[in-house]
Order: sequence, then C-alpha cells, then structure tokens
Amino acid sequence: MMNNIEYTIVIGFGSALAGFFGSLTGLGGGAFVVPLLTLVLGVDIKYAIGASLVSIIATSSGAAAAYVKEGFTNLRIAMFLCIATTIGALFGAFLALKIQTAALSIIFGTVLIVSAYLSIRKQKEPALDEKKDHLATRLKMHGTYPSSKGVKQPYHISHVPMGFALMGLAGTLSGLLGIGSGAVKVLALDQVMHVPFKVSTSTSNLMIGVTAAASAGLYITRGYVDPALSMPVMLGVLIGAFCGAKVMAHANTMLLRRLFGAVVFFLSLEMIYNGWQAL
Amino acid sequence: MVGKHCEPMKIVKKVSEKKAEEIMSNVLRWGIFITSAIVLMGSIIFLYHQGFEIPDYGHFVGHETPFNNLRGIFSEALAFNGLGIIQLGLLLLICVPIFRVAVSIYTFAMQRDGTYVAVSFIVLVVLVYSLVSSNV
Repeated sequence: MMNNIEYTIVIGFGSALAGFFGSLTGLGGGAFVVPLLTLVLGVDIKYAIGASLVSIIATSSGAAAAYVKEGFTNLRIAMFLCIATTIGALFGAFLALKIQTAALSIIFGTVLIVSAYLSIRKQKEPALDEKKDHLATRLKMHGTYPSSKGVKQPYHISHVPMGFALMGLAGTLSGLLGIGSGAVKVLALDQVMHVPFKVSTSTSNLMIGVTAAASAGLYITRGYVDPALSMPVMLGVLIGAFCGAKVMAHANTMLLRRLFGAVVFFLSLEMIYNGWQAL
Repeated sequence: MVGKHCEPMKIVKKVSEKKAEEIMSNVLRWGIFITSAIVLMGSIIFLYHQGFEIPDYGHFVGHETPFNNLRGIFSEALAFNGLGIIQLGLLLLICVPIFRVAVSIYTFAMQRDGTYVAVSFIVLVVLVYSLVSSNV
C-alpha cells in the first residue's frame, strides 16, 4: 500500500514518460495514462479518466501555444468543427453515466487499438492543388501555411460534412473516455478533408483542448477528478510533453510510433480482458 | 484604383491577425504557467500535511467529496487545504481553452467576420453550459 508521496512520485514519473512519448509520436499521453493507472496501480477507471482528461487540457494548450505562433493552425476549421466536437463531448459524458465501468474498460481498450492502428499506418500527404470545394469556400476554410521554403503555401480543403460528422464521433469518444481522440481528429482532417499534415496536427491539437474542456466540467461534478490523483498526472504529462517537444527534431518518429503502438496494443488487450472478466 | 484602396486594409488585417495570434499564444502560455503554479503550490501543502496517509483509489466515491462543486472547491481552497487549491487550479485550467475561444470571437470580430463570430460563439455557449450546468 503506497502513501500519497509514493503515489505522487510513481504516477508523476509514469505520466512524464507517457507525456514524453505521447508528444514525440503525436499519439497523445492521455491514452497511455489511463491503462497505467487502472492496470498497474489498480485505480478505479472513473478516477483515471478524470485525471487523464485534465492532463489533456494542459498538454493541448501548452502545445497549441507554440503552434499558433508558427501559423499552422487554421482557426476557422478548428472553430467550425469544434461545434461538432463539443456537442459530441457533452453527449459522450452523458453516455458515460449510462455505461457500466466494465464496459467502459472494454470500449476504451478497443478505441485505443483502433487509434494506435490509425496513427501507425502510412498516411498520404494530401495533394495541395485540390479543386475548390463549394462549401469549404463559402466557409472560408481554405488557408495558407508557412512552407519550408519560407513562402506561404496555399491549400484547399473539401468534404466538410463528413469531417463534421467524424468530429462529432471524436468528441463523443473524448467525453466518454477522457481521451483526446487526436488520432480520429487528425484522420478526419488530413485524410477526409485533405488538410496538409502540419496544419492538421496543430489544428487538431487546438481542438483537443477545447473538446476536453467541454466534458471536464461535468467530470468534476461527478467526482471523477480526484485532486490528489490528478495533480501528478497533470504536472507529469506536462513536463514529459515539454521535454518530448524539445527532443522532437532528433527523433525517429516512425520507429517510436511503432514501439508506442506495440505497447499500447498490449495494454489495450489487457484492458479489454479485464473488462470482460468484470462484466 | 479600387485595388489600390484595398491594399492598406489588407495590411491592417494581416497585422491584427498576427497580433491576435500573439495574444492567443501568450494567453495559453500564461494560463498553463499560472494554473501549474497553483496546482504545484496546492500539492506541496497537501503532501506536507497528508503525505504519509494511504489513499484508496480502487473504490469510486465521487459523490462524497467536497471537490465536486464550486462552493466546496472555493471553501477548501480558502481554508488552505492543499487539495482544494489543487482542484481550484484544475478548474482554472479548464477555463483556459474557454478563454481561448472567447479570444477567437474577438479575433474574428476584428476581421469583421460575422459568420465566424457566430460559430465561435456557439462553441463558447456549449463550453459555458457544460461548466455552469454542472456546478449548481
């Protein structure tokens, strides 16, 4: 039985690792934190989800601060799609009340596997000279981003309704499981809506924080957010993510993703197994 | 001639957009910094007083805690209870993205983009609803 100090150190260290690899691979630390807390430390999944959600707000906002300055974030796409994600988050948080804990574990494990798979497989960079989609044009969603040559590279996007629907799903998952759903968001942005990678990553990042905030209020009311538990998670993930961002330039992202994906895969299997046993 | 008249407006637009992005970035940075400091301070107080106590995270008793409502959080924080201060910090953390959306409304208003003032406002309403409807 560990005391508060020991818990803080262990969880803080684990969260820092999660945040470090999460930011290096772009897979997010939140998804790693919940299995760590529930499987290794025997924490009730509700407390784990609460702590995870809070840490996601911290890392997303921290990273967004850097991205916005660089000019990669498309604010219009972000705000428009956030209508879908925030409403989805409310719906997901509402659903979480109706679903029993064991089922939550199974759903979490499944979503984790799918997210890891999505992040690992090869994505093709969207073509830049798409013909102008009518709705996207009316919504002023086309933009530019600073290319490596220092010139503003324009891009056009498409399939807005599909993107909107996917974001609703991403938001629901976020509200239900306390995760960032970054993988789904990025998928919707660059594969469906043809947003260039760098823009989709930073725009998704902004959206993750806003989405998490939508269900966080409800989580606090239900007592999912335990301050003693959430504190080392928040601080640990923040520090880890910060260090990860610094090291980013020297990292072999693909290799790390594969490694991270493998670990996450086994954690997911265990979560599903545990949930199944408890049903 | 119309083109020539438009040019200065375009430049003003670009400058204010840059300015807005800068404000945004600073708001986020400062928000994280301040809330982290509050959480850290709370955790030091908490560990100093209760560091050797053994918690039970295996059983969920969320409905029995004083930290699930505004009144409880504030009274605990004002009483210098470390956990209350932490929870207050976490509450403020939730406000950071909300504030960010509010700043977006301002940015779009500066650009005279009525559509997106409305869009951002809808997002803000959903966010505030979540925070308010829960803290009764």
